[in-house]
Amino acid sequence: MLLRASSNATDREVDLASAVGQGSAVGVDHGDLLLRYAEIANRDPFEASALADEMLAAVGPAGLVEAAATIAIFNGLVRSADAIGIPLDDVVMGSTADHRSALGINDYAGASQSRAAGV
Amino acid sequence: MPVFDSSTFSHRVPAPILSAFDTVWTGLSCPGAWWTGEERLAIAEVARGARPRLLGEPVPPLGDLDDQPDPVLSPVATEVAHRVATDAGRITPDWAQQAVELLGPGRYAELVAVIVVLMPVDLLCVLLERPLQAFPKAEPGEPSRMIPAGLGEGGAFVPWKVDGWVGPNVARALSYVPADNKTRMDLVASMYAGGEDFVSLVWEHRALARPQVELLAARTSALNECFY
Repeated sequence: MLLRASSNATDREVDLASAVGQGSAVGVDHGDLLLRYAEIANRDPFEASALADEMLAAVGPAGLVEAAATIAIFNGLVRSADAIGIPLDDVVMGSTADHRSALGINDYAGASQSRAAGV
Repeated sequence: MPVFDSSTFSHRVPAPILSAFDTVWTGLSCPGAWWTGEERLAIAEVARGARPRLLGEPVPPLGDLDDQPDPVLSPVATEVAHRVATDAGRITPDWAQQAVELLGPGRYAELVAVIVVLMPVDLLCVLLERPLQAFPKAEPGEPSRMIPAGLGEGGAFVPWKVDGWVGPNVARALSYVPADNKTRMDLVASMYAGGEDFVSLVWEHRALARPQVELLAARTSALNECFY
């Protein structure tokens, strides 16, 4: 939801499918590079430095650090959410229904908690 | 003396992140509400060393595991820590219910809390080419076993803050262990966004624009199969 909302706030349209590994990240500056960085940082973090030069050229050292920090903290946040079984917030559930279905996100195991909570 | 120094990373790390990391590190070794410092460090050790199971590798049913310390953590606690660290996206309500029954809600929540603050610290170290920080020595003392006021059932696997709660569910996820939850949310604010940054959809003062950060966050969530 925040990806779509923040893109809309700057009058740009992002392909949300890129977040689930489909399509391309048009509408986000250096989006495809950021996706590649997210992929390697999550799947094989010890190899992520292979993209460091490309990242530095595109977003600079501070951008690289922000990207790494975002990926790192979301590795904690997703575990908080899934291990505690938190249901999706009402407002998000309602506003993302179409996209969740289209992108296959409703098939994730954690979706059952939101359904059980009646959200 | 600070443990995390910016000069040990490949690029300059902002001071609020370093400060939050130091708080995490101090907290790992101190008694919490439900585990001793030694036990919290043992949970951290399991999480740091955990590797995803290979396809077809058997997953031990929690009910078959001993719940007595061996020598610090029980096999049940070790398996729960392994699962949270490596495969949280596939945790089912039945599995979680059994884990909470075996450990108790406080120890389950605090085990999760230890892991979810350790992993961002370790991962940032790896991504910015810094050696993993050695764990501190355990501080003596007993857990407080304090159950916070205002908790209730709210659709999560453990009770959480319900009285007067305003805010996203993720912020109260670990409200059963409020001190650890504060450490976690301070870490989130330093590494992602907090306060005005969180509510503002347009960032002009940061190296990355908000959509760039949200793209990284969304891809990370999807790779971990996180519905929330």
